[in-house]
Amino acid sequence: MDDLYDLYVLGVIEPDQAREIDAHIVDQCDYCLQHLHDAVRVAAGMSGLADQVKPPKALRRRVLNSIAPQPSLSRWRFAVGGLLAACVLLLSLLVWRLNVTQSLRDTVAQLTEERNELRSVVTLLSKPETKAVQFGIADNKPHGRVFVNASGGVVFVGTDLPQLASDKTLELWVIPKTGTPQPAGLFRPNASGDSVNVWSQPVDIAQVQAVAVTVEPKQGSAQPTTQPFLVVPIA
Amino acid sequence: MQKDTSADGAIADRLRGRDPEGLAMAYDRYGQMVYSLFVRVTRNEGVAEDLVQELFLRVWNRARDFDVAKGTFGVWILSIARNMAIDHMRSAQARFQSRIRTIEPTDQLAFSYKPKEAESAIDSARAVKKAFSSLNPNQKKVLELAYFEGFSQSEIAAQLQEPLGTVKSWMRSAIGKMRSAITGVEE
Repeated sequence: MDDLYDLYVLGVIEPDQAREIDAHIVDQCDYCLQHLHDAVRVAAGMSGLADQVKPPKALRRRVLNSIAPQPSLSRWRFAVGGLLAACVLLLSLLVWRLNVTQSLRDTVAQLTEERNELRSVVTLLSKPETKAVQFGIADNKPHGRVFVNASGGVVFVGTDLPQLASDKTLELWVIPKTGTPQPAGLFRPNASGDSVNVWSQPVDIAQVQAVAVTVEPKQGSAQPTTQPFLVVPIA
Repeated sequence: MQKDTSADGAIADRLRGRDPEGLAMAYDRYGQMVYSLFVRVTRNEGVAEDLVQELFLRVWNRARDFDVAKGTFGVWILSIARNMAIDHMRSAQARFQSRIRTIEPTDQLAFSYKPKEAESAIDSARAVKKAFSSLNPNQKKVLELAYFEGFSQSEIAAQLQEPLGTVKSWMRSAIGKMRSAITGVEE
């Protein structure tokens, strides 16, 4: 009977016998526990039955290395990785800030330009010698006003202007009674077809026959390349 | 017989203190024994090396629980080594998949082993080896098949083509001599 404990410890006992001993272990049976402990000693001692073989010398180092703390390389890797991530984050933040700053500068410049134009318009409109000419009064056709001042230049205020392809622009012309048309500024209407164009150059009103608008290439033209879709007589 | 227990106590003491030198001492004392055991069971030196590494890693991870005073370290490491070897063979061979039981539960039994007095697993191994030499060939054969191959008595009977009762008789007498060599109690 006692050899069953040895077979149990060796794990070669039959299942039904193992279950019986399991139950005694659960019950803390003193007799079984003592015999099992003896069996543990016997099983451990039986390891001496194997013929002794010298392990390779490298195995000792391998075993000891397996519990050695990982060299600080991993910590360095972590630190360098973290530093790189922080640099990338900072760089991204910097680029984003630059983009935002540039965008704000563009917006401020645009608003400043529009403010200056409006100031010019207000100044020009407030002068008593400014000549105002209304054009086109029908809906869905370009209509608006042209203001001409000898020292202040020409202000064009238009509504229902045509929408343009991205490579086109509108160009304002001052048509003299004699001679060639004089370019007076490039402008594009907004989505509603509205636009204000200010040309702040002195004008000899007596010599101006009309103001005209043509569609030109995006960069503008020195002379009209298309027929004017709008001609406003000034004389 | 002079008991060789102080070394086990020193190893356990250092291991409990998480001193890597304790593991080096454990390897120097038991490395060859467990490697020989793994080679004998697996018949593969590469696998034996892997198992040695895994075994000492287990030792390191459970180091805090060793009883310094009782000198149980040797019993534990040799018991676990044998169980690891047999479990490795069983998991590697399909014919073992449905048989008997895993040995893992007896690991805890080895770990909870509390002798009444200090003793040395190495001394026990020497005593067992001496006693083994006195066994007859049949007793040696059944003991080796059980210990190194993990065969049950019925499997041994089938392999040797001997009656189960005969195998049990050989096994009982073989184990009895092993036990008396260690405990000093005649069967």
